[in-house]
Amino acid sequence: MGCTRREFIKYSAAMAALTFLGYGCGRKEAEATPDTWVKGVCRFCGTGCGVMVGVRNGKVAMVKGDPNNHNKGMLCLKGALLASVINSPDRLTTPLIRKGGTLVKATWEEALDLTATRFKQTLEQFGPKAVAYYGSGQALTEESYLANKIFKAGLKSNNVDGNPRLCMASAVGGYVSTFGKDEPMGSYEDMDSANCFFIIGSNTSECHPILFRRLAARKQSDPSVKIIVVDPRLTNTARIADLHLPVVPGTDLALMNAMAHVIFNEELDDSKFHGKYVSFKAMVDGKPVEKSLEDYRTFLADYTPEKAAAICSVPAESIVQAAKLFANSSATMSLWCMGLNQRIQGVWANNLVHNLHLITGKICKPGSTSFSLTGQPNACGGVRDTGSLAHLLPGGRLIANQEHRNQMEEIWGLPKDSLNPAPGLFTTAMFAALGDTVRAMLVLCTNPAQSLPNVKKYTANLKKSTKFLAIIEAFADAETLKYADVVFPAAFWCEREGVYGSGERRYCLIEKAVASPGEARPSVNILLDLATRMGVDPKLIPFKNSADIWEEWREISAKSAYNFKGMTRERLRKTSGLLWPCPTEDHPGTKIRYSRGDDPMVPADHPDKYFFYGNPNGRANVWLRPHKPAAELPDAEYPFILTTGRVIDQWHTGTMTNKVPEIRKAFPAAFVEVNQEDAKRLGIANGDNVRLDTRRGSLVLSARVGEVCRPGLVFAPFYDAQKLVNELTVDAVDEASKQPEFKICAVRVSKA
Amino acid sequence: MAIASFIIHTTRQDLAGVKASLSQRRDATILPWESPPCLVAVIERPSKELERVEREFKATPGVLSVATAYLNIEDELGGEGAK
Repeated sequence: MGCTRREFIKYSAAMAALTFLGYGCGRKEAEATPDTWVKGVCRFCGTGCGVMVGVRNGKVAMVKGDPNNHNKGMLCLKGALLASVINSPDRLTTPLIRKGGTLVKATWEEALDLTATRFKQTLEQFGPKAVAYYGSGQALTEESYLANKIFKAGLKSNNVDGNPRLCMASAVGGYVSTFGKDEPMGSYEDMDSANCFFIIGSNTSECHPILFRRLAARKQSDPSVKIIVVDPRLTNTARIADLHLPVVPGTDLALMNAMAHVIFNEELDDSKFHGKYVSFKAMVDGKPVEKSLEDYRTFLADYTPEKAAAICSVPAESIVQAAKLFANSSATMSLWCMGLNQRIQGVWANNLVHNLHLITGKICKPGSTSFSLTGQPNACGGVRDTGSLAHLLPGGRLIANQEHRNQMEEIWGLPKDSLNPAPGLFTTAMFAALGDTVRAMLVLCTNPAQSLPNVKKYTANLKKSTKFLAIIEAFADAETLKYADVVFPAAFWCEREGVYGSGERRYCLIEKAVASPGEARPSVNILLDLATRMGVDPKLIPFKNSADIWEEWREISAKSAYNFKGMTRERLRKTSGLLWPCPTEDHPGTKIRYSRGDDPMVPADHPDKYFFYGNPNGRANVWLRPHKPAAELPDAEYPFILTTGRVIDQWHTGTMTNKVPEIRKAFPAAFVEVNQEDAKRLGIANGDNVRLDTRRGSLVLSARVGEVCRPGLVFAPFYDAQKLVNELTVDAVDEASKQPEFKICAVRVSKA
Repeated sequence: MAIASFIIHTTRQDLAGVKASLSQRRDATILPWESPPCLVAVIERPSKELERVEREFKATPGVLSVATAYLNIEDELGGEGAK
C-alpha cells in the first residue's frame, strides 16, 4: 500500500475499529482463512495486548486482537501489522562472523565456539568483571532469567544489565523506595472506575494507544471524569485534557510539591489514611531519616503555588486546580512514563507522584492507583521481576544484601557466600568500560548503538579492537550489528514459546505458531549452548527448553512477594494471562496489591485493611524531595531545550516498524518540532531543514512548525537510524536509578 | 481536521438501512460488518464537531449504540490547543 501520512492515519482509524470487531490484518494473505489461530502477546509496547496469530501454510498470515485479554480484541495498527515484521526479508538466517572487517556467513559451530572461546579467554585473563551481558525488555522471561543465572551464578559476573535501565529504572527506584517492592499495585481495570486521571510525562495516545482508547472511552462514558495532563508538549493526549499544564521540562518536582502544599492547605488530605499507613522520610547525608508530618508540611511551605508557577511557567491557578481535581475526585489514577523516568531526578519524580496518592488516600482502591506505564513488552516480567539488572537478584532481591544473596545461593544450589557481592556495571558504565575493563559482551535483542544516550561516546568503544561483541538478533539491519564480532540469528516473537509480563503484572504465554526462517534458533537454545561451551556447571542449567526454565522460576517465585507459583505453563496456555501474586493453581490473580482481601500476600487476618509489606514497618514512605534542575540547562550558547521520544507509527529504534511498508512510507524520516513563535523568530518554515547543535553533536532535520512544543522547546523522535538523535542527548544519570536524562538537554536551533 | 473512527452498533435487520443513511454523509467512509451487526465509520472533521457527529450517529434510526475507536487530531495541534 502506497499512502500519504493522512491516508495512513485514516487506515489506522479503520483498523482500530476493525480489529476490535475481530478483523485480522495481514499482507496479501489477509483475504485467506488461516489454518490455525495461535494465542500470543503483541511484540511492541508494555501494554501487553493479547493477540491471535493467524497461521496459513506455516507462515504468519494475519494478526488480530485477543478478545479474552485486557485489550478486549483491540489492537493498534503496529500490532495489527506484525505479520509484515515477522515475514520480513531482512531477517537474519545464518550466523555471521566478522572477518577482515566484514560480517560473513558462518556455521553455528564456528560462531558458538568462537564466542565461547573468547569469553573463556577473557575470564581467565581478566576475571569475571571483564565479561558482560546486555539484555532487553523485549526478550522472553525465560531468556532473561537464564542469561541472568548464567552470568551471575555461572560466571560470577554481575555485569548484567539491559535496556530497561534506559526506560524504567527510575520507576523501579520509585516503587521500591516508596513501597519497598517494585511494580504497580493496580491494573488497567482501574481505568474503568477512575474519576480523575493525572497523566504526567506520558504521551499515552501515541505510546500506549490501546490504553488511551480505554481512558478516552471512560471519559466519553462519564463527562464528569476529569483528565489532567502535565506535558511541555501539546500532544494528542493533552488535547483531551480538562486541564493541561505545559510545564518547563524538568520542573515537575516543584509542581507536585506545590500540589501537595495545596492539598494540605485546603484540608483535602486524608489524615486517617496517612496517619495509619504512611511514614515520612528524607535523605540526610546520604541516609534515609524518619520525619514527621509537621516536618513534611514545613518542607512543603516553601512550595507555594505562586513559587512553583514561577519555576514551572504555568499559572498558579492551574496548579491549585490540578491539586483540587486530584484530591476531590472519588478515585484518581496517575499514569506516567518516560517524561518522569528519563531524568536525573527520575526516582524523586516517581516518589512525588506516589506522595500525592498517599497523602490523599487515593491508592489501593478501584480506580485509585499510582501506575507507571511501560515502554517494552517484557521489561516488567522479564527484566525487573527476574532481577536481570546489575544491582538485582530474582524476585526483588538486591545483590548488595547478604541475606538476599544467601537466599539465592541456597535456591540455586551454590556454596554460601559464593555470589559476587559487588553490584555490576549499569548500562552506560558498562558501555563506557567496553574495550577497557569490560572485554567481552553478549547483547540480546536490543540495539544500543542507536538507543544509548550521547551515543557517539559509546560507539567509539564499540569500535575498539580490544572488545569482543556477540549479538543475538533477528534483523540484519539493526544498527549495533555494525560493531559485532559474532551475530547469532534469533527466532523472533511467536517462532518460539515463552512468557511476557506486561505493565500491569500480567504474565501471558506466547505460544509457538511458526518455524524460524533459515537457521535461526530460539535464544534460550543459544544461551544454553554458549553456557555449556563456556564451562558453566551443568547443574546450574539443567534445562531442555523454555518450559523447564519457567518451572524453576515459578518455584523460586514462591519464596518472594512476587509469588506466581499458581501460574503453571498449562494454566497460562489456557488463559489470556494472569496477574501476580498468584500463589496457588486455583488463585484468580491479583488486581490490587497491599489490600487485605485483594492481595494474597496480605494475611487474611491482618488487623489493618492496607499493609505495605515491602517495608519493615508495613507503611509506605512519603519522601521529602526538593526541586532540582536538569543536568544541562539552556544558556546563551545553547538556548533551547531538546526533548526526544516516540511517535505512534514507529517503535523505538525502528528495527521492527520499518519492516512495514505502510509505516515506512507514512513516517520515513525523523523530524524536529519547533514552536511557531520560535520558528518565526528564527525564519524557519514548515519543512525547512533545521540544524540542531548540542555539546555532543549536530543533526539536520526537517521542521514541523506548530504549537505542539511550548516556546523554547524542540522535540525529535529517535526511531530513525539515518538520523541518530541520540548523538545529541546527554548521558547524565539519576544518582539512584542510573537512568539517563534523555528528556532534557540544551540545544542551539538554526535554519540549515 | 481530526480523523476518528466509530463503531456503530445496529441490528442485523437494520444494517442495510443504517448503512444507506450513513453513506449519504460526505465526511464519512462507512464499512459494514456482519457479525456482530455494526458499521465502522471513519470521519474527517474538526475535533470540536466530533461530539455532534457522534450524537448524529446515535440519532440515526436503527442505531443502538456508538463507540469511539480512534482519534487523531495532530493536524489541529498547530492552531488550537487544549481548551
